[in-house]
Amino acid sequence: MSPPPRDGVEARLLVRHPDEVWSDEFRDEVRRDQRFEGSLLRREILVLLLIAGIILLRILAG
Amino acid sequence: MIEAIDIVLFAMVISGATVVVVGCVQYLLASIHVLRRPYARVSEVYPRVAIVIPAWNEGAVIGRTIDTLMAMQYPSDRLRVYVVDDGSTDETPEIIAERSERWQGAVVDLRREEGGQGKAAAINYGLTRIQEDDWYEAVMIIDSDVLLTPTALRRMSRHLADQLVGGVTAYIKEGSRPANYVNRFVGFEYITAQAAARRAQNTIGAQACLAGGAQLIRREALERLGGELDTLTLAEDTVTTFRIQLAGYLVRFEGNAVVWAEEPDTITALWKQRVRWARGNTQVTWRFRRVWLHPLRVGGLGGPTFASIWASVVFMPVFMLAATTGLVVLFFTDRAMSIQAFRFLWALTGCAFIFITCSSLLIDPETGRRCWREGLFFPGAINLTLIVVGLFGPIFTAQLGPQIDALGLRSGGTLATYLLLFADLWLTFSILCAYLLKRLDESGHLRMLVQPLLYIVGYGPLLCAITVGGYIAELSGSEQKWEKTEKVGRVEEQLTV
Repeated sequence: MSPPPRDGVEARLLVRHPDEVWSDEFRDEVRRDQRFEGSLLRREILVLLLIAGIILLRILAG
Repeated sequence: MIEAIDIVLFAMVISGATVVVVGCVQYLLASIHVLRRPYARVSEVYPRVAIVIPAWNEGAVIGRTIDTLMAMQYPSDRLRVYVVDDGSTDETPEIIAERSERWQGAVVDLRREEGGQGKAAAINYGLTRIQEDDWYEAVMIIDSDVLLTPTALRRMSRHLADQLVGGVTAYIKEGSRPANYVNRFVGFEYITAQAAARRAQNTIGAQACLAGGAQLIRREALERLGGELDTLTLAEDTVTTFRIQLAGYLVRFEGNAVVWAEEPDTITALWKQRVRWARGNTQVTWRFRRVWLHPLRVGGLGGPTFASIWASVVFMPVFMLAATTGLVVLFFTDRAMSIQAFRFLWALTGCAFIFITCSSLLIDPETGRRCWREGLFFPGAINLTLIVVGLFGPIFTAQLGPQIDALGLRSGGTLATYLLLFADLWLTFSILCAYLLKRLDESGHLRMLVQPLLYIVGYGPLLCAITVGGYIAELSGSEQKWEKTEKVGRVEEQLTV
């Protein structure tokens, strides 16, 4: 398996071997997945705003 | 003194919302998953993967599963499929032999004439065989019915570039087509239980379970477990996940690696499968009792957040019973407080329900489009009504006062009092109703009523009843056996393209 195992902190932080070249397909895939994970926060903020609206409505009506 | 008792009872009532409140916390944690930089340590690595498939009478599905694996976007010289035929009596042996002949060296036929010792034993047989040579760098264990999307394995394996990651699991999605109502409920459930919950567990750094349907394990991690899976419990996948993490490795969920699975399509089949899971969870709770709430000793797995997530699943019926008890005692001792507690419980549940349901639709819009009705009716029509009353009761009272009076529903009226008592009892009563629904489905009578009744009683209460079934099976010490879920090949192949 590449990259070869390294020791300590380096093993976690330097997973990209210096002479390793990522394929475009792989790079695009990671970028897409990263973008999707990033979008989850924005999506949930929308839902939280909806909940806030309902609570406000309830308070005003009550 | 009375006030102290009232506070305790009020707290018992609010515990009824534990499951949904913890659910909300999980969705919030899932949304900040990106802050943990899940792809900071991935790399384009293609370890040599040995895929182990335990199979017993899987003639309807095993051929397609192997074909899909062979069509994955993964270097073919770095992939071997080991099918453990656990003494099948159908056409499974012939299908495996044919695939083994077609892909010589890539598909290995491991037949056990004396099979039937259960799934974990079959997997262990495969693991023993793959460890006989030095070829493999990681092992992937999958179910015989699952169809991996072409990029699933490489999306999972990229995490193994991080030497501290010991295991990776994928997003299992319900793939039966056409999907009936039970399939759609399961489909929606998997958004919450996997797409959201497992991302949340990535965020807190502790995973509850490498899904049995698709678990990728680094060789070194497997060796740390002694090279085989646990066979003492019914939750071998959960035990493996815990042991990998307790050995010092991380376990990751890769939500963008999709695996399609065929799930039960009747309440009876679902009950059989899930009681096994629930019983397994009960066993895991006891077996790892020294892990809970010991963050300093075992890290994330021993943290309070993980303990809350685990407890909300395993002790779900206990919370329902506590809430009902609190509401009923308050009903007879302090009616005003009872109404307040009732409103607070259902308003809280309502907000949490809206948050979870809407977030689910946004996390996996494709499944959401197919299963939104089941998401809406997940708690059941009666609980949904209580949610509406809890959330919008004051608005109705303000706007529809005369009409409410005319119906005799004004607070304090006889009808309103009886309805309140019914609503107070419903949380627990719904679990009993869900059990009766399973009995009805099992009996084969009045089949046409099962579907509408499930939408009325709710899928949530059904899961709760199943958990009780798991407790009873474990406490009664009934025989532990691998009761296979029937698979007939309903997963549409198009899904994997």
